[in-house]
Amino acid sequence: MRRLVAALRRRWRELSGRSRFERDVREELDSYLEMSEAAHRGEGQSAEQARRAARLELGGLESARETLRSQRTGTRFETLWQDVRFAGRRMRRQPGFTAIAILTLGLGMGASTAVVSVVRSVLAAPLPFRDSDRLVRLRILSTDADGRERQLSLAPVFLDAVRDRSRLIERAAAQRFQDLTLTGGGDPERVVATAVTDQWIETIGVQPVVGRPFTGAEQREGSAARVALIGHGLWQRRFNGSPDAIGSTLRLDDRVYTVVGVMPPQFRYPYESELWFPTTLPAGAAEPADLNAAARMRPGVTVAGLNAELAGIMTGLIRERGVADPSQRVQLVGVPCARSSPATRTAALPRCP
Amino acid sequence: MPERDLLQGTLDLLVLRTVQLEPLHGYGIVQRLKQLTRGTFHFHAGSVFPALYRLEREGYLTSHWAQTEHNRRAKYYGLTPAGRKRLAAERKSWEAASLAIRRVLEGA
Repeated sequence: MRRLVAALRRRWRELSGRSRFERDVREELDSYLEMSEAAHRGEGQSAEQARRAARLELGGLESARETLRSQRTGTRFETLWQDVRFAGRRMRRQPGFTAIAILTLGLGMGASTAVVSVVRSVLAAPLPFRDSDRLVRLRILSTDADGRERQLSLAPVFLDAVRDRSRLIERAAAQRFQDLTLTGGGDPERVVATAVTDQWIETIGVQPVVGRPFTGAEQREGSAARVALIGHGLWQRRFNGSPDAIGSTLRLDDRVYTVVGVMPPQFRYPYESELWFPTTLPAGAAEPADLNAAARMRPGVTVAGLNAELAGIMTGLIRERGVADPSQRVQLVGVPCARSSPATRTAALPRCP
Repeated sequence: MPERDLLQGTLDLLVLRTVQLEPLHGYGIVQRLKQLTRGTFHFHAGSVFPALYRLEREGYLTSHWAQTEHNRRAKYYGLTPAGRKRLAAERKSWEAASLAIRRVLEGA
């Protein structure tokens, strides 16, 4: 109890210290002016002249006071409090305006909250990747001598190894995105496009809403067909959402692609992609290839279990193929990209996997 | 000689020096500075007071209210032990700097 009283008293001193400081400054400057005035009068000036000369010498009384005041710490908080009090006074003086302002803000916030909630549940909820808690990103992490971790670009050999050797992974696929220029049939525009390996659609578990996914033949190496899946937004912009889009062609960076399907609204994975086309990787290549890879674990597999298996696969790869610099610790890891709750699932969508 | 602006950073040194011998009030400090420099520099109370408050807050000066010889109340400033040290240090670095400048001017 006594300690509480002491704390309160200290707080009070800090607060009242401010006005004491103000009084101190005022008195000191007044005393300065008096002395200065007296000195000027001593030189034979009139009282009025002396006062003016003294003030001139002080270099502006108010500005001197202001400088001293601003040197004190905590000034910013004090002016904030002044602003708050000023706002409060003004609002009390104009109750009509205040009521309307509060009403407007309240309705605005309420309405946007309502709209966002509805949009989220109607549009976003049905969208997530199928069983997204089974999806992981595959990453190559290298740790140098100083313990710094770096993410390396994934080489095709790792994807091959995961597909061939992992018992815990159901499917895996890789993708690489790039900007392409879309021309013909309207204004040219930049489109983020993604080249995807076979099994990509099965891995992420999202099917086109119009048309069909790529066929096995279209995804095989040396396939002559240039086909593409397009995003819902692109479909609306270029084809007004018409089903005739399927089978029509798009010219991208001087290559012509035939549209075979349209992905669901809001599906823009990865990185705002609006177009997807098949690609193949050179089998077994160990050069980093700017790839991102995703894998779908078998039901019931945990990320920890998967990473134990991947560590074994990596050890084997290094032994057999010498795919990594032995002086560094290189790991192949699976990073989960969504928790299983529906709320985080939609939130994690763009970054996943 | 016309009045000129004080060299940057030297005001602290001069203020500390004026109160070295005995505590002085603000007006006295300004007058003493004018006297000692024979009006070479322009001392505004508006810049001397902020320096005084700052030096006090930094612990180089102490202050107390007292009666002047003309029966007025005024706030007197005096050096603290830290202020004494600071003055010695400032003085040393000023002397080193001015010696260096003199060497340049006379050596060239």
